[in-house]
Amino acid sequence: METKNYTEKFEELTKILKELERGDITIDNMTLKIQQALVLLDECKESLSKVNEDVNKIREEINSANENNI
Amino acid sequence: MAKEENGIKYFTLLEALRSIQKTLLNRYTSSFWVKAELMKLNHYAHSGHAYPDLVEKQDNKIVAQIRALIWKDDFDRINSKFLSTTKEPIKDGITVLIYCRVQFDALYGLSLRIIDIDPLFTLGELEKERLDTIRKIKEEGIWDKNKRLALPLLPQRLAIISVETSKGYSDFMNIIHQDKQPYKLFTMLFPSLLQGDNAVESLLIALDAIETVKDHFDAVLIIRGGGGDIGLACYNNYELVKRIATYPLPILTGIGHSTNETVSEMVSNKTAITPTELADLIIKRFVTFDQQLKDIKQNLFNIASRRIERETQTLTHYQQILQLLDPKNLLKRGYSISYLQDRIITSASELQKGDQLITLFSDGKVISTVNDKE
Repeated sequence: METKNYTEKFEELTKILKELERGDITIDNMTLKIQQALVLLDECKESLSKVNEDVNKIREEINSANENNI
Repeated sequence: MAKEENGIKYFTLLEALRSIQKTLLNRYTSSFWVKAELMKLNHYAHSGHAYPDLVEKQDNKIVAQIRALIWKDDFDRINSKFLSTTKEPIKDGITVLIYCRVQFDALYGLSLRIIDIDPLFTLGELEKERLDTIRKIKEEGIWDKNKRLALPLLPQRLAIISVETSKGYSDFMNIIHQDKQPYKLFTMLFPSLLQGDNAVESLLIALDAIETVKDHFDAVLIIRGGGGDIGLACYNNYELVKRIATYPLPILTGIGHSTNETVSEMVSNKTAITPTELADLIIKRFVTFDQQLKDIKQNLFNIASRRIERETQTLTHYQQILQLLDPKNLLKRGYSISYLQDRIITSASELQKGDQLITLFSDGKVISTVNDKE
């Protein structure tokens, strides 16, 4: 699971959601699937907030570099 | 009166020449128009007189030649009329239509005294040269050659052909190297005459010099200014125009004038009316590029932010769906799920009296038997 990137995790999450929405899985499976989905969801959220932080960091770095140049 | 010595009758040279003079002047009593090439003007600034050599050429060979003279007063009058009509002074090498009379002097020989020169005729000749150059360059298929060279996005290394002390050059340099302007440009001056008779040769020498170091430059600029619009016919010269058209670097011109565009300007990569305008044209490329970079940067972060936001929304949406789907949440709200042999019962028709059901609640499960069916 750790080696998967955001896109792969997101695709897997989408796939599980579709399966769940179709509604023909047993309850035991359902619980398992939902747990999987929630784990994937958390990991995706975490990746996304990391990307957001990185982008903000780069923006600040570039802005301060430009101010020093001109 | 003829003299006689040893039985031979003779005249003195002066007598002979005076006789010739008398005959000639009796025959040629009035003035007349002659078309000729002014091979050499021979104007003496000190006296103000000019002693031109007039020739006629056929197939580039001189087939007729005579000396002429223009007295100072005539010269000044003709020259100022010339300048205002043709924008060129009277100079060597142009074809002229002269109004003249025959002169013969015992000491100075035969000559034509020029009383007037028709500037309109010369204007026509200059225009003819201009059109000739355009036609030849187009026929050779090189008209667009310099124009098709890509001027670097940021032309930073400029070879400048100009005169160090000219107003045009200092106007240009003031803009390029002004303090508040943040872009650093490298310029190198290659001095040359920029107008009049000798400009063609001088410009060609400068262009040759730059070509030997062409890898160090992005473009060549020909800058002239403050000289009025006199003496620009050189920029219609075929050899010069051809050199510019086929030059390996983009050539930019700012030669500052208000009359007809010269052929050199027509074939050059870019042309500005004045040196100031040319400098602005170059600086503007840097300003535009700078702004584009800033815009791209802003855009980049906008796009990234939007993408992250959209992705976050999708994840939030997924989370809501998951919560809705999670049976635990359904059970908490008072619903229950019943199984018959591991199969979820979704319809009463699936059950028979006596079937054993397993029913799930949020906090556990019960087992029950179907007693009745309605």
